[in-house]
Amino acid sequence: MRNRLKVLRAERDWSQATLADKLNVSRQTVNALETGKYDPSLILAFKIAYLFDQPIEAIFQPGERDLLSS
Amino acid sequence: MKIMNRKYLLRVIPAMVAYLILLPFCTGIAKVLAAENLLRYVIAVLPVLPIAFVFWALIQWVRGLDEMQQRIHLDAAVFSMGVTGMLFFALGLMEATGLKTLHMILVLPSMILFWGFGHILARKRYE
Repeated sequence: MRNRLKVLRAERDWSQATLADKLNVSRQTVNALETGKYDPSLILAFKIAYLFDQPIEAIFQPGERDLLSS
Repeated sequence: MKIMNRKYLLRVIPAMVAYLILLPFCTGIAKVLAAENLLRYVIAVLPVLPIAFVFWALIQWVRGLDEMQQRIHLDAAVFSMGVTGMLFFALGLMEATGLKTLHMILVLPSMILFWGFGHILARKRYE
């Protein structure tokens, strides 16, 4: 799933470690989220949206494969 | 060091020290007791208690990880279970033919070792 996490983080001049602390996850998880290697759970997606004060859909964009896969 | 890791170490280190003290002590006492004495076997398995505590501490530690780390450890645990299971199944079949193989006491260290390998493999998926 594509996302704007890296852009939003850069706008606030936060490091991955800073974002990780704010979300209470590891830096590795933040990195995996930003590179699209890991898709967050619903609760984590809501946490991210709340942190950046944006709707989930403005941050995460599922690709066609994400919507079609079972 | 993260709080969870520190808590885990503060629980595990004393448990492992207790295990290292109990193991030779209990083994030594159990050996001198008569085979028909039930106490022999009760004392022989006492070192399992600190190891059980280590596993409890491990469960608490895993519960404190974030969702992605928990998923990685799940993959690693399944990998470990599969590889260790198949390894000792194969060894058991060889033993049935009369071949002397590994001692059962190596099951747990094998699971821990393969959990480590599994963790390395599972982590790569997210790097």
